[in-house]
Amino acid sequence: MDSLPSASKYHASSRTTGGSLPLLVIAAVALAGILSRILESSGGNATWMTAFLDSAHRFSVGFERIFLETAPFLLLGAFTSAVVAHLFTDADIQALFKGGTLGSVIFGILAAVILPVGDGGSALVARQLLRKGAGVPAAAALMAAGPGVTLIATGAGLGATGMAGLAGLRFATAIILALVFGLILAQESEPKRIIKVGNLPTVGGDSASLLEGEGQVSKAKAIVLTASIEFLEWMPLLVIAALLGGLLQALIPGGWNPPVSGSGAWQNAGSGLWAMLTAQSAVGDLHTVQNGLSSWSAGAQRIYLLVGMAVDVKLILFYGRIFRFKVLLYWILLSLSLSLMAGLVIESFGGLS
Amino acid sequence: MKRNARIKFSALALAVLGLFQLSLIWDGRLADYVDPRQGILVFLTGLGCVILAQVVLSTAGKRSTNTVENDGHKEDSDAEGSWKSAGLIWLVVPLMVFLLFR
Repeated sequence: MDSLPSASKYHASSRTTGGSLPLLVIAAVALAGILSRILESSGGNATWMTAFLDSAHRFSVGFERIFLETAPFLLLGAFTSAVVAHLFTDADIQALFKGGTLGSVIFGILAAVILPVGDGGSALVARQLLRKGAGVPAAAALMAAGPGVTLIATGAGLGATGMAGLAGLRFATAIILALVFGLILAQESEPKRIIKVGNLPTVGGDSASLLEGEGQVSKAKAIVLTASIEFLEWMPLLVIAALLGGLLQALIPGGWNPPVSGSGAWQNAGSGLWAMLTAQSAVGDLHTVQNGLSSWSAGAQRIYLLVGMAVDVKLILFYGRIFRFKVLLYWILLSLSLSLMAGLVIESFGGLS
Repeated sequence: MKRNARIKFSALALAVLGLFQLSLIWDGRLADYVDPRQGILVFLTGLGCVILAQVVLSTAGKRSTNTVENDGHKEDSDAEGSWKSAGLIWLVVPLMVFLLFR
């Protein structure tokens, strides 16, 4: 597979984040917030008032959880991306990640293990690698494996009491998932059919235009500025994801939240859906499952961790910034089917010890 | 001065974002939203945002000086920088949700 030609122009996603849409959303949120405050202070207990206040509470908790849990990983991803932009040459990156070979995919997964690129942060780093000429399969493998194998998530799993087995399962599934996804993408010889080339950052790092005309600037400052720009560039997407996630959490019936009563399949479905909507970080997923160890079924715990690692509201938006829609759809289907298969395999071997 | 103003606005956004996260830890409301064990990640992110804001702001200050010295230099006419499309207005939403919803 050919490496991707460097993008000559940087096009941020102003189509989705600019215009009058933000103002409309802000007005709607303000209206709902003020209304909930008024209803709360009125002290009424009509059914519709209770339902509205309950939904408003669920929305705010869901929104802030997604926002607060993802922001650290986004910042880490922005820093890592900035370091890659300024400290490594295109030749360095291409030497490790070029082409569509198994080797480059494995290097992508190894980079995901070593670099702090979990939950959304991996998308920023993968995008920077693509700009520097890395092969799409390698960058995709890094992006896909990141949330499940990053040192922070792995360390949190090993450190949490009773979670080592589940964390190990997630680690192994993430590697298999990244490997399969990378090798599938390697079959496509034309990168432009897989990714959105126009969304790649500028040559020389995103702070290049900002620092133009300032003479010699230290690399440290260039890295910090690039990290700031990338962080702020992706932040609107995170806010939109948090809005969607919070809204959907507020709207779905309370009985669908895990632990769901009913058959095993129903519990697993509820758990998978909740993982997609709550969009917790790889660390937050672990804590949620750990808190529900006694009340959640073993299958629901596995599905929550595996689906949450691969597909959720924010990751779909982040990955959609890089991949074309068709590839995104393949990714979602692959993640869900592999999560299901991993659960069935573990079940057939008598579960995790 | 458009571009310089945008840089300053970005620095302000970063600072407010950082202080917002630190304030959640300060008043204990962080536990309403996330597991308290993730407090250290939120704290470091808040601190990181404040530091980034400081560095970005220092760049804006330096550029102001350069602009005076080079009176009419092309730098300020370039309104197509990546700062333009940052969509910083979206950052108001987390603060509003935090302040208006209980």
